[in-house]
Amino acid sequence: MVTVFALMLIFYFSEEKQAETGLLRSASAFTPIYQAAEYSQDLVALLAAQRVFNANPSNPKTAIKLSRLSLQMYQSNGNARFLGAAKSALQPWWDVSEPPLEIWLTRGRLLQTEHYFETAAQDLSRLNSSHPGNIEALLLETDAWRRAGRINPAKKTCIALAFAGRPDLTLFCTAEILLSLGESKKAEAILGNRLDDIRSLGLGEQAWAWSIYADSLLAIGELDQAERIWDSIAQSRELLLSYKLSYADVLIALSRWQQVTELLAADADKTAALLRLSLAAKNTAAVDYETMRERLAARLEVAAESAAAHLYLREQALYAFWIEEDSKSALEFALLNWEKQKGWEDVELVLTIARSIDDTAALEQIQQWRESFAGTTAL
Amino acid sequence: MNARGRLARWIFACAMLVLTSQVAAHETRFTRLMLDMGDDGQALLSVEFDVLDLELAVGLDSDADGSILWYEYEDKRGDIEDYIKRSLQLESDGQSCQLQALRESGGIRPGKVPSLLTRFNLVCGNELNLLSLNHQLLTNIDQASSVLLKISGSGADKSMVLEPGFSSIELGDTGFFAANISFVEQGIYHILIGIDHLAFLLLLILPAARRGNLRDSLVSIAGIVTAFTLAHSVTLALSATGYLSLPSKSVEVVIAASVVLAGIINLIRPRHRMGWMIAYSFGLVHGFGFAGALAELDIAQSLRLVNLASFNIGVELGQVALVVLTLPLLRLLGSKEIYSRYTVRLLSLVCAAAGSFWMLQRLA
Repeated sequence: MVTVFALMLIFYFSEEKQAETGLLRSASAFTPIYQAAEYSQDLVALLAAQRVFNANPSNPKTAIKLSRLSLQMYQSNGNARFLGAAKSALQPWWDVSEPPLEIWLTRGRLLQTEHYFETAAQDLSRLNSSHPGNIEALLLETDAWRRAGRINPAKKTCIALAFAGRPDLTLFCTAEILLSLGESKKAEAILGNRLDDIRSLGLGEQAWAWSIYADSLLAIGELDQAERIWDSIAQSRELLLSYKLSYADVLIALSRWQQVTELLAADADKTAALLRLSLAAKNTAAVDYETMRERLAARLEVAAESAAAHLYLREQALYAFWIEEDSKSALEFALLNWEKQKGWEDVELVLTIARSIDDTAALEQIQQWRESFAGTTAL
Repeated sequence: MNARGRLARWIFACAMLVLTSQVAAHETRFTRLMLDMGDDGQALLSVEFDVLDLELAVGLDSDADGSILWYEYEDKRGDIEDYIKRSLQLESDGQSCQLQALRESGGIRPGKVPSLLTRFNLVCGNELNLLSLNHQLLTNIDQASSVLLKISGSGADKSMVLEPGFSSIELGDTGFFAANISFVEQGIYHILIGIDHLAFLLLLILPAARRGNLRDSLVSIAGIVTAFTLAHSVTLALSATGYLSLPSKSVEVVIAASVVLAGIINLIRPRHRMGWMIAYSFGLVHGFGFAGALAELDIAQSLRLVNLASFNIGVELGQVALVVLTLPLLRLLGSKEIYSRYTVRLLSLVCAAAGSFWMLQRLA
């Protein structure tokens, strides 16, 4: 009788269909296996572009279209295959000194995306010399120098944006540079006085500017205000994964675990999201915490073996710090990550972990790096 | 705005989008190669691609409407097999190996992004000891395409990430014992971290522990553990071998419910003798839970009966550990009247409350 009761319960609560994980060996001819349109029209466009490219891989127009669409797809869902596809499409021009402008730009962006910031910045610098006034190239170059930790050329390129007709963008990139250097109050002040200007920007630019403002609020400890900014961005559009993660970090700082879980639930297949979900599960003593932790550990283990291991250093540091509570290992990863990229969150990660174990050497290392640029950011 | 201006705006919109999103998440989705070494010298190679990868590399969507239907997949199975054979060269000790497609055993693994499984018999002219592998899978669309190779069977269990190009893999032979000890360890680990399984078992042995003399107690507990073992072994085997599958969420809910029910029965009748019946009935459901844990290990596809038995032995050892650790204390308490009056009820109440919490959490 108890068995019957158990089986009744199973079927009563059943939401998933039988054989969810089983192998489907036969089906009727018109059974859909995969419908790209269910995911996004961008994916449909990308698949079409791949088909055109496969037919004529040496045509620069089809190559650039495929590369751009693939990169866009990678940015939205993090699937490394699309990054590889974006790069492979440009292979014939990869080592060409001065390729067509769009290919050159995309090449710089790809290098930057793979965290080869110095190489990207140098390539983009040459591009900006031969095609002056290109806003996209200037923005990319600024960002690449900043992440490479080369503040002076970052500042120079950031100012060049104003001379190219976009002084508003100069303010935003200045704020980002200030954040990296720990001058978060100045960054917040710059953007806090320009909120109306931000509101008048196009959607893509607006999201970028708001995200910098929210980061500056987070950096100065105005968590509730940062949360409100993210909430309003989330109300107005579907958030890209990177924005969701930034929003989740604010919620984590506020210990709003349930909201973290709700925000990232649909992205549990992404390591960075799973990391934050695991932290939320840990803090709420959720029963599936162990399973999540194991899955996360397995993924990071495999990632560490892969050619893209350097792209996971931040996650490795956060995993050691948040989940394993092993601050020493976390600091090692955070410093390795800091050597690769010096965005404000990377610098803050080192500082937070170093402070937790009073590691004065690491704190001094960051301090000295920041002090070496003292006074260089005033416009 | 002219066409050039619109293009500039579009490019700029892309720039904003990309600049601000950086590499927040980089998910390497590996193509999975599973080499299953049979005891009889036969080797089975399974190649599992994400459907999107194959669409990009081979083109499954023949009418280019954005939907891949079953017949399109069926039509392309020969192309997929040829693509794999072209992109994957294998040699055993310098001698070339052939891939013989086993079409009837391949298929589609449904999921958010479904994957396509193709299986081959790996036929080499000699015994597989040193395998050389030249992988170029998906390099036509992604030159950095890595594969995750898992080797199982004949004591050669290992996994590794392979970059495109040549790799040499020593298959070796670590023997039957070494091959299965990891399954035993996983079995122990999964019962010990499965607090719901432990709570259920504890609730069942609580009334039995106080029974008369030590012999009676041990007989009762042995009956409970045996009933639980029998039941979960059946469903674990059925589920792990793919004969029976139940929704994991529902299974987890019922496991939590079993804790609540066992707690309530103890509260009402702290001296009951129904332990083995409850153990058997709900043990069936707990078996599905263990199967879920086994699936997490991502080895279920190449699972052999002996591996399954090893995992089960691990689960049993974990149960025995629980009994060995708790029985002396429970026996000590059981000699006092206070035990059945308060301790059984108090512990049962705590476990039932925890079970209710898990049930609500899993239902949410």
